[in-house]
This record gives sequence, structure tokens and C-alpha cells, in this order.
Amino acid sequence: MNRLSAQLQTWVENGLINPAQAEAITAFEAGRPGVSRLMQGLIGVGVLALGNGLIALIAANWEAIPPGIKLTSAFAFLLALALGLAMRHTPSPSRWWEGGLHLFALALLATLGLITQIYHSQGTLAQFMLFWCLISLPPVLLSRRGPLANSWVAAFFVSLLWWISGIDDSLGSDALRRLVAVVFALPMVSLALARLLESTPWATTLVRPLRFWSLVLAYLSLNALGFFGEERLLPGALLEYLLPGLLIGGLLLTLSFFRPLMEASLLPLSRALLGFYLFFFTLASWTPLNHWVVTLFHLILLSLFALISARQGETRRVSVATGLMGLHLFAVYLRAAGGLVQTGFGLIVTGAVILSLLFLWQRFHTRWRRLLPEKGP
Amino acid sequence: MSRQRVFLVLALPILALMLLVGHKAYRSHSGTEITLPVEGFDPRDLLAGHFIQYRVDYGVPVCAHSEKDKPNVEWKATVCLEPPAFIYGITPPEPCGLHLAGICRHGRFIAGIERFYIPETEAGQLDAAVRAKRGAIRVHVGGDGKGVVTELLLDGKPWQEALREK
Repeated sequence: MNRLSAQLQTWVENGLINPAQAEAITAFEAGRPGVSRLMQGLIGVGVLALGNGLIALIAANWEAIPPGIKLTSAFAFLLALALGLAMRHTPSPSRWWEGGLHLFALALLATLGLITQIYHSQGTLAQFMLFWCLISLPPVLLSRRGPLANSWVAAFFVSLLWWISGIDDSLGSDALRRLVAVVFALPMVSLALARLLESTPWATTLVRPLRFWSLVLAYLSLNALGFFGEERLLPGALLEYLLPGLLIGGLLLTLSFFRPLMEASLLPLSRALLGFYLFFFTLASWTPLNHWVVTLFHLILLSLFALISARQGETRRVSVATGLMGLHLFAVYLRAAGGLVQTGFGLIVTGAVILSLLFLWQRFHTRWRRLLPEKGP
Repeated sequence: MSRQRVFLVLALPILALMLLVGHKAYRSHSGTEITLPVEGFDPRDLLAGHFIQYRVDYGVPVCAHSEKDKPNVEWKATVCLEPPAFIYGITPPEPCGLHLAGICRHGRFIAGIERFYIPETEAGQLDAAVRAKRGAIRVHVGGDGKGVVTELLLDGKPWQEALREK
């Protein structure tokens, strides 16, 4: 509310609205049902504590209770929760209802753990989590708010990464290379899934988390290359690891010319971002790159992302992107690779280039904007 | 969405878990029951979390072909239990009364029976007993060669009974 009040005051002072209108807006916002992030967060904390407590109790594996009774109690609890959620369901579910749904998903996880214990199921943790992701998908699709869907998408991608890279079997450099290559492909898979689900009414709750995690994974994949330092990621075996990612990325790029993935005004920037991402990753995997070249590529990609976010009005993402750019440059300074003199000159040149580009943009942005397609409705 | 539909959607995963329990219960009680001695293969990894991992003693060398022991490569293999024999591939050797299907990975034969869940409070005692080679497992083996471990034995008795007597 304080931010709103400050904004309203600015508008009143500049004659955009009159004081009566400002008061009416303030009263309207105050009367709306709580958009309380604190409430939402605390409900989430409580649910997590309950759910983790359930899992811990089961993990203790009380032999005093016969397996039959443990299973019956677990299923009875699940059915009671399901019944309660169904009876309290409304077209606009409350945060408490969403918390109950979250608890249901955690109770599914706890019951799966119980079954694993009682029947001594084998398999890896990644396989266990993927199975949980599969069976918990129906309740996740019922959710209308972010937290549960976000957690589910995160658990799904982490488990998938773990399972595909086979890191459970060996922690050697080969497993890490496979992991990096999979992380390279996943952002594009996630974006493609988000696009497919956009027009599916019952699955729209997954769209934002999929888009969010595609960005996180893309950023992680770029930084993961840094684990190998100046060493090439793939000594020769390029196709085996990178082909899936290159194919998916290439397909997305091609489709963007026939069936736009987003509104027309964002297409050139999005194509540039995807193209640069594919080009940089392939180049860095194939040949060692100087750390300044790597930093330059990171800055280009983050700048493109910031531009797209700015045109979409996503101010928070713009802040994150510019923050990350600053962090990269600071990291370069801290590493001082090549010595302090080289680092100093490099940073001065980078800073000068950034400021010059910004100055040129400010002077000529109106002319350059005419080159971009008009924003859609 | 109507309340009945919401309940149906939530009931789906519960049904899936019930089917899983049914499948596992069926496999645990069907097939032929056998007892196999076990031993720890790496004392550091003998106990992880709340389960015991062990190496099963099949009575024959398994996965011993050095050329096949490559990182990140798995080989399908079969252990014949009666009489004891080992062969790479999915076809049991002739004659073979009962067999276990599995894979060779890093020189170990993995048949899906190498882990047994135990209570937190008894973990230390069971760990020591299995290390001292007093352990065995009871396994139900189906006609398809898939095994399900159903009991951990100490000195020939179910572990709860063995610990009570001690």
C-alpha cells in the first residue's frame, strides 16, 4: 500500500488524477480480499513442516506398528484429505485450500515412502521422485496458485536431470558432462512444453513455472560450463551429448518463423536470444574460450533477456537480469584472471562500452524502435 | 469444476498407490521362496539412511568378466539358483530350475534385492550382524526371474526374533 500511496501522490502532483480519484483508488485496493504474501508464505511453511514431519515419522520405520495398519492409516488419511478438499472446493479456492492441496501432495510422497519401506522397493531416489511427480500431477493441475506447481516443476526437472545423467552410478567427469549437456537441452524442452500447455485450459497452472524454470536452467547451464574452466566440455563426442539440445533449439527457432511462440514484437529479440544461446553453448563445448569472451557472451544473453522482459513489462525480471550482469562483472574482478592490470583494463572497456551503448540508445531509440514490429493487442 | 470431479481427480493418485501396493503384495507372496546369504561389500556403504545394502552370495562368481566391467555400461545377466551358475544375457543356462534376472554394473550383479529397510533404532545392531556375515535374505522369485526380498534373517531367524533372543 505504501508504494501505491507514493505512486498516487506522484500522479496527483503531476495532474494525471485528482485527489478524489486517488482516494477512491486507495479505498478500492484496501477493500480487496488479502493479497497477503506473508500469509501465503506462512501457510506454506506450516504445510511443509506438517508434511516433512509425516515423512520423518514414516522414515523412522516403527516396527511396533504392523505394516497393514500403517498402510490402512496412510490411505485413510489420504482419502479424508481428498474428501475434505473436494467438499471445500470453490471456483476461487482460498490459500488455505491451496495449502491443503500442498499437504495432500506431501502425504502422497510420505505414503510412497511407506510402501517403499514395507516392500523393500529398490531403485534410485530420482526414480522414486519421478514416480511421485507422475502420481501427484492430477492434484497439481487443480492448483490455481504458484507454490505447488513451482515445487512440482522443480522436483520434476531435478529428478529428471539426476536420472538421465546417471549421477547415482558415478560422480566422474563423464557424468558431469552428461549433466551439463542435459541442462543445456532442458530449458528449450521446458519452453516448448509451456507453449503447448498455454492453450490447454486444465494445464495452464504449469505454464508460468515451466517458463520460470526454463530461465533458471538456461542460466545454470551457462554457468555450468565454467566448471570445466578452459578445458573443453566435450573432447570429441559432441553429437552424443549436445544433439538433443541442438535439435530442440533448432526446431523452436524454425517453428518461430511459421508459428510464432510469442507476440510479433518480441520475435526478433527472442530469436536472437535463442540463437546466441545455441551458438555460445556449442562453441564453448567445442573449443576453449577466453574468460573475457565467456563474460561477453553472458552479458549479451542477459542483455537480450532484459530487453525482452522490458518489452513485456516484467520489471522484476529486468532487475534480476541487470543484477546478474553486475554480478558477472564483479566476479570477473574477483577472479582477476590474467592479472589485475588486464582485469582493470577489461572492466574499464566493458563499462565504457555499456555506457556508450546506453547513451546511443537514449539518443536514437525512437528511430530504432520503428524497426521493430508493433506490439500486439 | 464440480466437487465430485475434484474428488475423482484427487482419488486418482490414491488409486495408483493402491494398485502399487496390490502389485507388490502379490509379488511378495507369489513365486518360490528361497534363502540367500548376504555380506557387506563395502563397510562404509553398508548402512545408508534406514536401509541396509549388501552383496548377495549366489555361490558362484558373478559379473567377473573384466572386459565387460566398464563404467556407465550395464550388461543383462542371469544367475541360476538351482544349480548355481552365472551367464551373461537374459536366457538362463540349461538346466536351470530357478533363476534370477539382473544386470552387471561395476562388477556387481544387481537383481533388485540388494536393499532391506530397517528401523532407525535397530540400525546399529543389524549393521554389525550383517558385517559379521550372520545375515541372509528371504526372497520370493517369480517365473520371470524377478525377485522380491521379504525378510532379513540373522543366524537363520527373522531379525526381530534374533534381536529379541539376544
